[in-house]
Amino acid sequence: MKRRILVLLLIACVGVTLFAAGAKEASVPSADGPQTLRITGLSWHIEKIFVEEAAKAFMQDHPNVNIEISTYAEPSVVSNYAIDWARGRTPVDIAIVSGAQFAAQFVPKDLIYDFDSELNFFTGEFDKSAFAGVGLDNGQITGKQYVLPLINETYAVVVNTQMFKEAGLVDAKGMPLIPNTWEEFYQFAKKLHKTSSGSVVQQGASIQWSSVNFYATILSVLRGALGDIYKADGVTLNFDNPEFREILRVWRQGVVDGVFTKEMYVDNMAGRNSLMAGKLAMLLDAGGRFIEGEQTLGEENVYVIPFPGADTGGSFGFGAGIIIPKASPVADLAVQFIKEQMMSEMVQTGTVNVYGKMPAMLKYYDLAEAPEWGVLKDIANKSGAIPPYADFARFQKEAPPILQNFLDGRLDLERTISELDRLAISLDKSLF
Amino acid sequence: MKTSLSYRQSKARMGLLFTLPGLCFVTVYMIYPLITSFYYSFSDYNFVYSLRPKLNGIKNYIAAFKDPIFLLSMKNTFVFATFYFLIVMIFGLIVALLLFYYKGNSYLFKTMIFMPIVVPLSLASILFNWIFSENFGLLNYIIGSVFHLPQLTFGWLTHRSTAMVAIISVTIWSSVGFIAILFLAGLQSISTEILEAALIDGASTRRTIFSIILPNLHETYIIAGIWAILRGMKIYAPPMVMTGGAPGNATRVMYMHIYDNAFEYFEMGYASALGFILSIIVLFFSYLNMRLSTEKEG
Repeated sequence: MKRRILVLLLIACVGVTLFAAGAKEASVPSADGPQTLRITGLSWHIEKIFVEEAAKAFMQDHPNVNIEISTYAEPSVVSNYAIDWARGRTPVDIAIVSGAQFAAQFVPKDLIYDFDSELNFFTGEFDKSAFAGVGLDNGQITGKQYVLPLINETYAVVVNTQMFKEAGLVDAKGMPLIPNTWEEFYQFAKKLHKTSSGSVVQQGASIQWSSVNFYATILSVLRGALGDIYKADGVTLNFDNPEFREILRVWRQGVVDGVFTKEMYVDNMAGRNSLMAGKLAMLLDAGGRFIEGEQTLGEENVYVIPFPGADTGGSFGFGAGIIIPKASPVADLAVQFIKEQMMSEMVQTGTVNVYGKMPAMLKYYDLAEAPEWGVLKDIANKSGAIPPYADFARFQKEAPPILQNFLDGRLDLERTISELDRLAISLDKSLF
Repeated sequence: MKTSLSYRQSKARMGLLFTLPGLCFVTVYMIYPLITSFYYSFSDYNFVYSLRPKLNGIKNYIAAFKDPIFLLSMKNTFVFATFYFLIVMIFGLIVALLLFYYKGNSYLFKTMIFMPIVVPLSLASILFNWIFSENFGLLNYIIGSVFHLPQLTFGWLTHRSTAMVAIISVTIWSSVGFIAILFLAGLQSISTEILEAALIDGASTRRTIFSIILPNLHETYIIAGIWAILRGMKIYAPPMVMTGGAPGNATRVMYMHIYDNAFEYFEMGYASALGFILSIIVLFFSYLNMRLSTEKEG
């Protein structure tokens, strides 16, 4: 009997522990009474998209609303929300994610709202025509708008104009010359590269080859070279073409000669840090990085140019956007907050002028101050979105090692193309 | 007699009651996840796209041994763990012996040796990433500009020949203090009478170390050895932070592959199988270490 009591006690204790582990604070919404809106994002989302400022302004306008802001550590952590959302509860009402690839996971189980038909977001001044096309494309899954774009970015080349001037790579107006082919890009880098007693004192070029973002570079240069990233079937990435072979050949040549640094393999911020330190001539990365360069080198010493082909074929566009879980008890309030604050002039022009993130809404483009935005806007208008593969993470993880092995001379060109092709064919295209 | 029994029984009951919270915690947070993931390891279960796990026998385990990236990461993990284990154990023992024999202000040195372990490994990895940076890192700056040997500067993290060496060195830096402290505790537990007897018998320091001290440290070998094996096989933060597995997959380790499958590809079934394979390897080496240390004792 006593044993039974002990067993029951144990079960009760386990039950209480499980309940305590699973319990979350529930927000009790009421249209008239106090309401709480919970927002989460990566720390850079919160800072660079002015979320705190937007929250303050919203709370001033709506004294009955309290906004709580939290951050999550890294993009893949968002997946953990699926556990709560599948059980009909949520610790957040708005989650800012770095693109549709981080939202696709919630769609099969119907855990997030579609901004088109379910939230009816795109009405009046928020009609889809008011948004930059690439941003909308980046938020679509199975043809529906599950991610509302907040900011857009595109890949381009940030250059140190002072170094270009010293190397004679400027036009009559003193503006940096634009390399039209990859061979020219390599020749520019070679001219700009400087060593002293065997040590590099000025790096010719740094290309975003990190394990984290190499995929973006691949998609950018493919689009620039071909004007599209897909084969004739419209869903399979196209690596088996002479243009991409030429890009790879030049990249390898640059690595062999040391004019393209490999530092980005292991540190995705190495290029921008070198740029800001005034040690790098050309950086192929997100174009908005020019703002960071200007902050340390001065506005007159930094500019943005398209990489070969980007001015005609376009580049890769990406960005951050918002998802709203269906488990949120205050989805309407979330939409109201987005319309009133996140799409406001304060947020949208602030993010472009201070942090170099392009606005989601077209009307704010003209309020961007730096002249570089003209170049980036042109590239962005031709840019393509991230391919909506259900297992896109596999491409992100598996493509960089293949290319790094090629650049290190461990794989020949044909084997590299065939491995990339095999990877492209194996990706899950069910979300197209 | 009856009173004594009931006293013992009530004492046992009280003991059980006191252990109940801990037991609950272990059941909920350790036993339950262990059983669940064991079940998942025999299932086809994508955390995002599958409605529920579907049993598929040992398919995940077979797939693991056909997965070239997993096999490569296993090889990398063995390379890391072997060098890490040997170096950290030998170096830890040497440091402990130096501290044991050093009669000066040993607290200062003990603190210095132990200090790196309080620095989070991920933070240390970020710092060393900068130190090892190719063009503008501290190490190459010292080699090139301070010692005027620019021909010896190198891409420590971007070359596959040195990337793993750099990761091993950071991990050793962070944990050698802990191993040394374990060995020092072992050394201090050796009876002073034995050491004094050796001294009276005229044994040299070298003879004392090899004939008396080292044979008496078998319990420490077991504890420190298991700790080093666990640390070596479960390495994650330094390669993740310092190289992300690059260049190519040269520094990709098993834990990274398991994490990616679980939380990037959401393949919980496959990731669980990989996790159990790693557990079996760790258990095997821990058992081997224990047996070898015990045999030495016999």
